[in-house]
Amino acid sequence: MRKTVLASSMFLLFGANFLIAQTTDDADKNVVISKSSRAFKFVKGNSDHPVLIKEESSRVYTCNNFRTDVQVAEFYNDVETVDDVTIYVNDSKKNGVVPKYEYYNSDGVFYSDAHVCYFQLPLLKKGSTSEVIFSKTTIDPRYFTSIYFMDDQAIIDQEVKITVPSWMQLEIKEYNFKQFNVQKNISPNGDETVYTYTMKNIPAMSGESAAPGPSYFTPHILVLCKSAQPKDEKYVYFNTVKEQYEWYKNLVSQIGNDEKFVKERTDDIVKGLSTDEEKVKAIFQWVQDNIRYIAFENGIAGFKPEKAQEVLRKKYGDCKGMANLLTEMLKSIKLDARRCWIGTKHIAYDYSTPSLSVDNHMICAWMNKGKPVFLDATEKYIGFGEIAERIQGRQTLIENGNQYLLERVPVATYLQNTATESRKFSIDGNNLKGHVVQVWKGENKEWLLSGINDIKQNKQETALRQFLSEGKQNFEISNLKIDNLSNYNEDLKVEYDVLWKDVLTVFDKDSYLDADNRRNMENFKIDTTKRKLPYWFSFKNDLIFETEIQIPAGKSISTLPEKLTIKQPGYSFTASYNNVAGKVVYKNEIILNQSELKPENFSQWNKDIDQLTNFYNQQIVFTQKN
Amino acid sequence: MKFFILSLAVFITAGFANVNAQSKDTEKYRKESEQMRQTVWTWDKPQFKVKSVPAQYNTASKVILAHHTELTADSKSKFAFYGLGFGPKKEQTLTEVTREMIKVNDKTAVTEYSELSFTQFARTSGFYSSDKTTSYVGVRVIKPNGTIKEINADDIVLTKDESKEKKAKVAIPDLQPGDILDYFIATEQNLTNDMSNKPYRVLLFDDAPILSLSFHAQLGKKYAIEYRSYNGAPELQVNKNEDKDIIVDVEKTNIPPF
Repeated sequence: MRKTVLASSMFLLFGANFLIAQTTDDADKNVVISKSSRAFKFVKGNSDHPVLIKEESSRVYTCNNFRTDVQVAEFYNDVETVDDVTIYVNDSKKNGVVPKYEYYNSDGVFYSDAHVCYFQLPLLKKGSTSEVIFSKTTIDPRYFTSIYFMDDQAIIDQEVKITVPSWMQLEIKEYNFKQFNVQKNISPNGDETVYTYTMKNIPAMSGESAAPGPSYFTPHILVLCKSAQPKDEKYVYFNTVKEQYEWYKNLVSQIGNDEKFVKERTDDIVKGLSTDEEKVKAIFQWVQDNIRYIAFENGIAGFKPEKAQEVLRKKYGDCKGMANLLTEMLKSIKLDARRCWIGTKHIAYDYSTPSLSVDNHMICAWMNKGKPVFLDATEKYIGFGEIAERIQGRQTLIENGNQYLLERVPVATYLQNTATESRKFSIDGNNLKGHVVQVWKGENKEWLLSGINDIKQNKQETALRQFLSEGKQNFEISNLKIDNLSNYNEDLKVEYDVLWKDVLTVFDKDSYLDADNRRNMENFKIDTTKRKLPYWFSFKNDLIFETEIQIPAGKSISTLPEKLTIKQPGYSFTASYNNVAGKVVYKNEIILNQSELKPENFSQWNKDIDQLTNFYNQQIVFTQKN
Repeated sequence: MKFFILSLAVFITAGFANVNAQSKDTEKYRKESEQMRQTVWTWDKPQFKVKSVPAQYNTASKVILAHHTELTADSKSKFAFYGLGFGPKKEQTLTEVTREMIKVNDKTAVTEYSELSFTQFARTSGFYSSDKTTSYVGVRVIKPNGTIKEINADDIVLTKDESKEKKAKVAIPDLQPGDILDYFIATEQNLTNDMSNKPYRVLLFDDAPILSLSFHAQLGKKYAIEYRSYNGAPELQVNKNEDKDIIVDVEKTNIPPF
């Protein structure tokens, strides 16, 4: 069932470099699925479940090189059952393999109805085969949403067949067929229509990190179940987004929010505040601070928000619980607020395909003079009006009485996330000393606050000092001052004095200096031999690093590195050193104005990163005047 | 590192009794849980009445105000029919209750204690043995104004619900920085024909400051105990009561974080 998205999409280890490019290892070619046959059939059920979808799937695994076991896992839940499993090892049913059936603990979800049937399947020697046959049933067409054609192993030959009787109305949408040469055949068979998809040499599912979700690149179909009339009665599923909205709206009407209880708590939070915006800000931050993200997604709880008063009582909830609570709190003080369903960037579709696969998240919209201001309280440390990359530009289905609104969440520019470090230094012997101011906005602020708050409070300052000094003993920080550690609506700011010891290297009359120890994005190259998918940065970014160094009396600048200017459609790197009124003024700015780096641009990116790295390797040279 | 190793060796003589496997349905389990909670919450132990933290620990992420473990071991022998004939059946009941009261001061501590997983019930049976473990939990949150909020059974969800094993977990409601979490886990083990030694370790440190840490055991007269104290830990106080049960105690207070 629905996987709700966890608040933090971050996140790098505190103190680690900005990002790390990741690539996959070579696909394991030892085991392949030599033959896969999957057949889906819509059949008549009973009065509780009038339409069932029966699946029979057979996968033959072949061992190419050496004896091994592969893990086979099939997921099921309240609406999807595993009815039977048959396992052959070298054509023998007597193989001692016993499937286990267990609760599946998925990341970020505290409790759900997800279960897994799994076992280790032996492949006895080179050339031997093992076969697994699953029988499954889905008891409601609403939940039968997609069929993916990729697997954990490469598939040599696959056929997927869907048998649709004339009493079942559906639409099938195809995705990523061209790249994988998937062939389709639709043929009538008496009172049924049979859709057959055949394909050869489908590679194993990619495990590349920082990549788009599978709906962007794997061959698959969406099955949009519109309606069915197995007997006399007609059942309408999601014919259009209107029916999907009505289904959601019906779930919302069953929540049972306690308006009085919610109002009492809300009144406390907004006491003394006068403008609507101040009140919304206060309520939003209260929910961010006080409601922990804990998701329950068992059965209908995957779709129906928890009661606002229960979320208030428990002080935890998932995205739906928080969005419903925010909506009810704002409504309790007579503000226009709406629940919004949304698919995060992880999902390739929008509501032009009515399906439960379209969305995976819920947020709240405050309608400020009719214009939505989107509030996502699962983003724990984002400011009011700031929008996380994962929902930017996404279509959202907004409550509007019996109707609905479809709007796109605004796209923020890289300027939302600017992180600036400004240093003013003087030279003292072989040391630099001076003052540093660092400011983080938007998702950079959220990233850092998230890291800080994951550390015990009595160790936070030590950790922050280590982060700022990058663990270097010769970068001594004093008079550290931190602003807005708990006010996410303002920029996070730190100021400190630095004594940066032994940073100048002296030969005779010349002193050499690496003024930039941050070296943002240095060596951030993509391994093009391994990476096939686009690289998705966590968010659009803007990293500014500035240093002013007072040139000491008796010294002059003999060498300043040449400036660097790289401007590409998705990013730019600019850096320069200037001698201005007795100071060396260094400025470096890395802009990622798009969060996606496409494979066709990897080669240029790598060349540009090489240039940036070369720039960092140059030094300022001061010379003693005679 | 300061800890004890306590090794319990079991000597059991023969006796007569019926084999009577107990079935615990949900209602029964709830009732037993309720009884266990009543017992533990009313412990007359002054260390669980302390609610204030010494100033030196104000900035600590969490402070363990009190930690106490109560271990009881009992044994009896019966005579049972095994199919091929009669034989001695040696039953033991080991009950361990660990209660901890923690002041959670920041978000990391809240996150650490916000979820609790445990095995409610597990049974393994062989021809000569039949072992059963049942766990009970109690969790309550004490707010800074003294209000006590106890979690109810409906907040507990089962992640495994089979006749031989039930696994459960609970998300602790309304836990916020500044609160005190008072919880216990009680485990009752019923063992049959288990003659193995039972090593047991009492750790007298944590990564948080501890105001009071104590251990008390009452072992039936058919048990023997061997123990060692390491790294400067206090000696165990071992005595016998009127029924010749072995009584073991150790306590340490004001333990700094390790």
